[in-house]
Amino acid sequence: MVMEIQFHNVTADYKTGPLKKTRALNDVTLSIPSGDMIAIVGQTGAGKSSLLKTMNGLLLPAEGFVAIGGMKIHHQTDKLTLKRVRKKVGMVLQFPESQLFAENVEKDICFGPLNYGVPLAEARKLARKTLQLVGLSADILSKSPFSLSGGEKRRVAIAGILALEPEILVLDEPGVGLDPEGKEEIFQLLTKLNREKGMTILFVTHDMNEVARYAENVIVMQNGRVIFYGKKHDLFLNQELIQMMHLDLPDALRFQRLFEKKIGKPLPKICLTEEELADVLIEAGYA
Amino acid sequence: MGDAVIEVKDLSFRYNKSEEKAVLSSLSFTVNKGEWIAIVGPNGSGKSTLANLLCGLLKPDQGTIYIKGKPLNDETIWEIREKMGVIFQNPDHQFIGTTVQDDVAFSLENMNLPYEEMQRRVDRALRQVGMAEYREKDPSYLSGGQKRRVSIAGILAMEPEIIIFDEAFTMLDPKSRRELFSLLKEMQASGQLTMVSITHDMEEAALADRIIVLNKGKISRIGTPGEVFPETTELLAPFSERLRRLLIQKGRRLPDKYMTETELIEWLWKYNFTT
Amino acid sequence: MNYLLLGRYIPVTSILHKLDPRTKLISAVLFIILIVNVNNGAAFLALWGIAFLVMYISRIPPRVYFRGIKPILWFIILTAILQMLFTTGTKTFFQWRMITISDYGIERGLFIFFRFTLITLLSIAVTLTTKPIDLTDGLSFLLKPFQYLKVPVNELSITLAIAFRFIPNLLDETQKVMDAQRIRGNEFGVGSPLQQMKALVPVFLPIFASTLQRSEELANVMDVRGFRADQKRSSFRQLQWKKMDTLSLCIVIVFIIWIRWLNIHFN
Repeated sequence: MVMEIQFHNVTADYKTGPLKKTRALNDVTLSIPSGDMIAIVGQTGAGKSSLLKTMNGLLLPAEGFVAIGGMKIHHQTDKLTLKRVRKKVGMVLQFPESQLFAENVEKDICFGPLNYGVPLAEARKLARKTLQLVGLSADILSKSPFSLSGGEKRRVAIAGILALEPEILVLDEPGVGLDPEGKEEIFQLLTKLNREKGMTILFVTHDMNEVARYAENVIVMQNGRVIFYGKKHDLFLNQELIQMMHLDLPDALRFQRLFEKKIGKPLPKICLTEEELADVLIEAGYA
Repeated sequence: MGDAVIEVKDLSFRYNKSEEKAVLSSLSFTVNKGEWIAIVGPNGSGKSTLANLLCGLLKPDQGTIYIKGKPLNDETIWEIREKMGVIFQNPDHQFIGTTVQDDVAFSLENMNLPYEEMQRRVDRALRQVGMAEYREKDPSYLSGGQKRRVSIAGILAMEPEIIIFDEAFTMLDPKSRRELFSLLKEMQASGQLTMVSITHDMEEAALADRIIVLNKGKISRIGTPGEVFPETTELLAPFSERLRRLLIQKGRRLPDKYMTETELIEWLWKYNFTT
Repeated sequence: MNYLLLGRYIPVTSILHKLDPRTKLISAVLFIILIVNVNNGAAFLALWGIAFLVMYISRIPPRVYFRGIKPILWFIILTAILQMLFTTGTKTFFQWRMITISDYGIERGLFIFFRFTLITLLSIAVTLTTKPIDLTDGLSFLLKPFQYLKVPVNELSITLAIAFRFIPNLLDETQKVMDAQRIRGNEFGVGSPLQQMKALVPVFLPIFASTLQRSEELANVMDVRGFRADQKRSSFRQLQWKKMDTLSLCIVIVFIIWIRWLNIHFN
């Protein structure tokens, strides 16, 4: 089934005080094709998390609507439709492991499916399946989630969302706070879900190395607006935009720019990963 | 040895006293005045336990930590804490004050300093970290990097001799991290401040004078970044080291030693001339 | 959940916001003592005038104040009705066994209603215009004399300050946990009361867990930053008594004397 995500002039606010509202999204129009792997970047408060939340119906548009595979999210969408949306669009919040609560891993993963009326036996099967999918062994099903390591906990939390069998997965800073191994495991998982299951994946990040390594396309946000949506190479080629948005560069490109300054001329093409950089350096005769 | 600010002697610790397996066993090392030391290691290597021991939140089962020659114990701890600042991992969970300046002043209030002295120190610390214009703001509305700057100001206001960073920068994006590292470099330049970074970020460790690698509760290596980095796994190596290894893998001949980014750029540039 | 937000500080610029917390606390206490002792229509009318004046100069819309009364409105009405039904007077309009409706009863009921609403409105006026931390500073200053009675005023005030500091965090945390569970198909506010209660059960565990974890982290931070409950601490936050405060307090006292006079004169 094709699950395109369409934003039609979406404006959304969130409450910041008893009397105050802040504009979170400002006239966002966007069409995301099925199967894309997108990184969302922008400064703190640019509206990145809000963009994810509107896709999942946690934040309802004040104006405009979001259409996801025939379902519409607008300011008075009923709870039933929202519940259906949430099954199709799985959302992983920041530090999702802090939301684990059941006495064992199996019960925690089953929580979602059971809420959607999946029979217990079926839910348990799903728990096994998703645990395997996130790369953890079935032995931990009976363990308390609190006894696991940081990276494992996060993968269990993601398994809890995957057990809903969503077609779109949106994640708020999935790698933050993990050590390099833990981070790598999470992104390996996302890449696998995208390539093998054709899942559309959107993730928020501040780390341009994650953009360079794992995303195909990038959404850049500022003050609740989408400023850029396109290929990652096009974004990093656009030095003006990078500067205007105060965006960082991936390590490889940062190194490349320093090197170009030293040699006084540009390398033949821009490099986002160390592999690309190594090849270009060799090709151009610098190593 | 007169310059030793931190001396760890034969330190052992286990959480569960009935268990055989120790989290740390017979650790010994010294940190000299003005030195920046990084303690690195994978998850479960015992580095966060070591951090908690160093700031006196845990008590060792065996061995002693000496701070400026004094053993760290119940009698000396409060006196030592006036000279030692600690910054923990999660910036959101560390604010006590409701405004930036109130939070920076917290340690000073505990030291029972007079009001004018506190004003002076808060002012200077906030300027030093570049947060003076935010003094009236609620810290919870700041960005991650700004929150960290406020925590550092809170420590600098104490005019400490030692600062311990316990995974203090791992939650930040690379850009704010690099900006903070240059602040740290500035702070260290005076030669009066001794710093200990507990981290899994090798870019942070690369800035230190020496690195201690912990593995399963034991020190597996102590040395300068140049001595330690060539032996780390791929994921843990800093960028310049990864690139160097990759070029060698692709059949290029590069020096068989760790190079900083500047050194590597220099080398590649010169290589261009010689060929 | 939103009830907890009622009466929370609203940052706007007004004279009331600028006053020293001590001025506001003393004035509120004086007025409350006055309100409890007032018992005629003229005095109540004047008090309502003052209440509206306070709302006006706070630059916060009256609806915010009245929303603050809402959660306890039923309690107030019930108390007033009971008062009305069980008080005998000179003229009786209705009587059935113990229950009487008399002129005096109606008056008493109305006065009770006014007393409660006025006291609530004035207390809300203080909390809406004063940052919790300033309120704590003001309170601990005013409570200082009790130190001589071995009341641990300093510990109390830092406890209060930290509690106030973490209320917004707790609310955020609750929101986050509820969001996390909505994502997994848990619905709130749907179905029978029993179903609604059941939906809330999985919310409490993560909140307790995270609150515990947070307090532990906070205790560690306080520890390493040298906080000791039994030691003397200086204070970076200084209260500043201004001319405006003296003046305001004078006005309050004049008002109080005037209402006392109304109360006696019209009896």
